[in-house]
Amino acid sequence: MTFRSIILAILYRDIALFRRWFSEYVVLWTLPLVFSIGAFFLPATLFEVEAVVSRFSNIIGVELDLVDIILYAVTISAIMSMTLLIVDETINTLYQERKLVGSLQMVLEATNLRTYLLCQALIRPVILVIASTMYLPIALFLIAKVKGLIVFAYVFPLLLISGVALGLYSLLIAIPITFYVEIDRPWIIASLLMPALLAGSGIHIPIRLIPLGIKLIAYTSPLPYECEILRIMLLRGLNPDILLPTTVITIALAVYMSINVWFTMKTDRYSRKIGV
Amino acid sequence: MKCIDVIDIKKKYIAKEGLRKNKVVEALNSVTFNVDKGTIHALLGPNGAGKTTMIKILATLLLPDEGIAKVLGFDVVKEADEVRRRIGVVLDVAKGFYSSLSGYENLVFYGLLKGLSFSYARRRTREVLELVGLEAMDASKRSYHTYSLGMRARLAMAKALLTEPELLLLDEPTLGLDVESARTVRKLMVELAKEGRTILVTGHNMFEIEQIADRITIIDKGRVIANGAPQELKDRVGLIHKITLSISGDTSKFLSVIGDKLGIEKLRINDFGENKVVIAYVKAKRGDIVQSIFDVMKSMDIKILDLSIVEPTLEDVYIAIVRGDSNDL
Repeated sequence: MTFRSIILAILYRDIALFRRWFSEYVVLWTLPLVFSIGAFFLPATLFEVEAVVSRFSNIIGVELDLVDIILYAVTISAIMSMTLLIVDETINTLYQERKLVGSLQMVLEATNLRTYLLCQALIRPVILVIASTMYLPIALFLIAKVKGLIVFAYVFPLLLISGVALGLYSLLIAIPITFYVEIDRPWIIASLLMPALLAGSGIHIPIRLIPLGIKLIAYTSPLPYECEILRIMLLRGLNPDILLPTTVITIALAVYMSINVWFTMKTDRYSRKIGV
Repeated sequence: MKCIDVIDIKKKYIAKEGLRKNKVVEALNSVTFNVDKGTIHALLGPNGAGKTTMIKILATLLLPDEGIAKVLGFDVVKEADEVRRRIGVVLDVAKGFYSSLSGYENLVFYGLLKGLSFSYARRRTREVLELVGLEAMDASKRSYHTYSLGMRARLAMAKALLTEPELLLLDEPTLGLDVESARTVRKLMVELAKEGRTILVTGHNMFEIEQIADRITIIDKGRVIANGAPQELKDRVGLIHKITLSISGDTSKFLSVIGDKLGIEKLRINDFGENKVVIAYVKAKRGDIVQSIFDVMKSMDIKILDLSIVEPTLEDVYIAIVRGDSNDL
């Protein structure tokens, strides 16, 4: 079967699931949004808002106003919801498809595992990025009108690219969990990985303050570099400093893709040997 | 023309026994059989005999260790994509679909995966849901996890039929179904075979298999132990027929002649005055029994008031073959 038909099928399935789980998506949009704004403005319970804005500007080293910080907090919440959804869906869905609901068998009656996994790793993050950040343009527009939409215009491609990289990264964890080791509760791995990735990426805390162990986990993923690009773009505008993290994300994308091509081919053969 | 050609297929599994010990399980050991186009071929055997493994190999879901398996002329290992395009599969009717999607959505997804266009996938999905009776049950829009086992089995059949495949591989398609659902699935299989499709079906319900199968392959412990049409298997095993005769006239002479011709294993006579009911167990072919009885009847002054010949069922044949005892009855 062609890549096109598989991509079409995945699109159809995920749109149907999105419609069915819409209420869960509302929760997924709301909680990171509340958490992110809360994390930035928690000191406002002790000090004046102006003091918080001024302190934040000092930490970043750029003069910011309240709207800038809210825009930044809301954008950061999109990274959170995107990461939560992509890591969780990539790891748990593959496990469920094979070991719980058995729908992987239906897929493999139509195509081979390698093609399906690669299509899924490339197209699904795009769908999930769109689904998890649907609130973002609306929220940014409400906060800063046209400026908000401009922010969205350059943040969204970044979210898409890092989403695909994160999808490929998560697949590297999902494949061994699903095919090579006996685990009954893979969601524990996903649930532990997600906060480690987010905390280790310096989303809310400067990266130099994060413990080395968590930082090491996070640096195997594209998230820290994505956060860095976002911080530079949102707080300092387009700047040559984004070149390094952008290059790292591009290399990471290529490395994840290459490993996945080899790994999915190996797993395809292995799964046909042991049975789906 | 051969639709399935299986030559010397071998498959071993490594099963874990405890934490460190592994055990090699021989699922298939030099299995050879073939299936003619347009027939219903049953694959029978006890649990763990290797039936599902065989179906999975033919469905390209499992690689054989050795041997050749061809489906519609395509090798299941080297030309797996060609095979997938031409087959419909039912494996484990209790699961195999996305539980949060409806039956309709699951089938459209499957159709798209199989390369159907979006509009045709939707149209065809409605047709097959109608065919298996799920539309009438108003179930096509409900989430799969709310389906009963019968509905799930119907959906599995609908999936197998979605792409109008030339060959259907059905692994216990009526397992756990109620009488009505099982009958619907059986009827569907017969109709599909009449349309010219080939069906390879496994199952444990001998009554059902006897009704629908043109040919049967019995496998046990990974080996083919019998192969042929149901009647051929019965004849080959040579099981005993039970004959019940209600006659009037010279019974003793009649029985002595018949006994010489057919060889009666066991005899019981119930005397009702002028009429006698004779129950005889004879190890001969059904046709020979009927012929002999009428030949003797013609040559003697005897009247047959009633005659019934109960032939061994497929279940009797199956048990005799699997136990390796042809004289079980």
